[in-house]
Amino acid sequence: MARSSVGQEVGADQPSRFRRLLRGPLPFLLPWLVGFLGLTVVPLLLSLYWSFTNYDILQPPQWVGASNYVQLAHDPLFRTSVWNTVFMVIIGAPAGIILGLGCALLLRRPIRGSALYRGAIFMPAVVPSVAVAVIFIWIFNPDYGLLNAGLGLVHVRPQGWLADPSLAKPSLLILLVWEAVGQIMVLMLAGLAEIPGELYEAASLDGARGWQRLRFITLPLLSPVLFYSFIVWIIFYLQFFTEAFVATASNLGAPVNSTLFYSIYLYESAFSFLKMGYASAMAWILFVVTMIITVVLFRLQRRFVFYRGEQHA
Amino acid sequence: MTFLDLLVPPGRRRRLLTQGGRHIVLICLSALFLLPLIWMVASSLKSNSAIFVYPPQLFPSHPQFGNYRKAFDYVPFWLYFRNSLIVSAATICGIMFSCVPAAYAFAILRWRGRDIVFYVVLAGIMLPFEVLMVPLYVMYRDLHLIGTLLPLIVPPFFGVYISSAFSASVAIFLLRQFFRALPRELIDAARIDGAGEWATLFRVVLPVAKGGLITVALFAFLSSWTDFLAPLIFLSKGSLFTLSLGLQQYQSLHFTAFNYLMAASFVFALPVLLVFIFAQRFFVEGIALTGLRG
Repeated sequence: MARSSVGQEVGADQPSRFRRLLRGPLPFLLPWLVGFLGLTVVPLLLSLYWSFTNYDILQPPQWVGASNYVQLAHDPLFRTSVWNTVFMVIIGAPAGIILGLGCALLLRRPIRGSALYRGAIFMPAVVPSVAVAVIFIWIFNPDYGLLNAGLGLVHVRPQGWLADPSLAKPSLLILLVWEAVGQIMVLMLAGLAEIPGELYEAASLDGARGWQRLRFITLPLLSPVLFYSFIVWIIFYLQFFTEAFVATASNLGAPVNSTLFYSIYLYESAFSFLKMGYASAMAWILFVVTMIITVVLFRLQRRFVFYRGEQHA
Repeated sequence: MTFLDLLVPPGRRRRLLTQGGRHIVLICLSALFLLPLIWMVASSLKSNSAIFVYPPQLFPSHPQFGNYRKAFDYVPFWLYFRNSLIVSAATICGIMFSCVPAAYAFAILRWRGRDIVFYVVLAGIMLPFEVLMVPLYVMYRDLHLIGTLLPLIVPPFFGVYISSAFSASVAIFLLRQFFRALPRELIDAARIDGAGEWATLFRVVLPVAKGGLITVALFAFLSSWTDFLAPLIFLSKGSLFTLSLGLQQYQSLHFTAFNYLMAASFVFALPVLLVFIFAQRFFVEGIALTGLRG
């Protein structure tokens, strides 16, 4: 009889380790494993090595020690890009999550046409980011755009939006949050559906009103989902590229570097200035920071997030 | 007691009021989220003179459906469309080829070190494409693959695909969740019948986990169709551009034909919008599954 599971292989004649692997998981993992080694581990190591070199792809890399990292610490553009990115993370992630949660709470109890409402709010999430960016370039157009025209109706002076250094980041945030809210809402709705109705019945017997029910039942029971969303969206804003690139394609980072985000500066260093070593150093800093943030958040999660008994097996 | 109280009892009235309030808020919200899309479609139908008018009209008085034909001629639109189709189809097939068996190995097979290797997969979810793009570019250049579509076509077959919202690691994770949710007896029964692991995968697991496969395929389609950064770096020639790169060709430093750009954007977004409308439930299921992990 054909026996294939590894656990059952302990027989009289021990087959070699290799053959055991061959009958076990190895064939299933082979494509992934090849790609993981060849197209992930090797590039990662190359990039780590290059981050300690000067490398313009035309000449072979030259070892310069930690000089790229030292230079980064003194590079005002790098600092600007970090600040711009932090700004997006700090405002974008909470804004999207609060709005998404709000929409989910509105749509939670049955209401006629809820599928339509849900579809409408989610729809921006499936529009390609490049298309979103060009739509909003047009909406933000200072002369002929929809937004200034709309504001004109309530007598607000026309603004420069993406062309105004103080409004460029908020404008991008409007666009990114518009894209994100629907996805967050769907996630929150799924989380809300998991909360057992009896809890609310018990609470209303105890006299809990709407706000108290939100504060003491909904939010604690939703905290795993909320926490997960924070991790996902913090990482998203740390790395986001497309919308900023398309919105400022003719002059990256414009106006006056107010939209020079981390990934934009990384891209420019590598592919405009051909400073591959410098860009690799930036890439590794991004990778390590992403890992640290994720690990720290997961640690925090154990303290602040409430899990119902059966949820974590 | 007033006449109104007789007509609609107060308790019911309050409920009607709050229901009505919710409807109003939801209609406003929906309008807010749909307005940019409506603006896109409306702008795509405006004539060259009507588009640059202040204050702008929301709806064009003389819709120009000919704009679409002109937009397709303005840049080699159908060439870009074809490239996008090739890349998306390859990504879907590649992800299925590499990630379905891997997910099976993590979900159904029992082997030593499984959980540790799975953590490596999960760590891959955190890996930004920005970290890999420089070395991958250099590697593909040395292999003379820059200037072909291959840097976008081949890696998914080896479980290497990263875009902003979806990656091969996410695909493995999702599929594993779907496979694990299958009743264990089903798989044990197949084994008792003497089916090998591959037969179990193809004849037992896949037919039952069809919903999961569709969800992952949809995500792969959505993200590869809309992906920008990888095409930007790996596709150096205009004849290889995908639609996300091609849209930029409507913009130039001095003039942007916004009506054509909006028409092209709409046609670019249309396949994903249609897929979404007809397969909403798979999207929702997928988001719920990736999301509900603590």
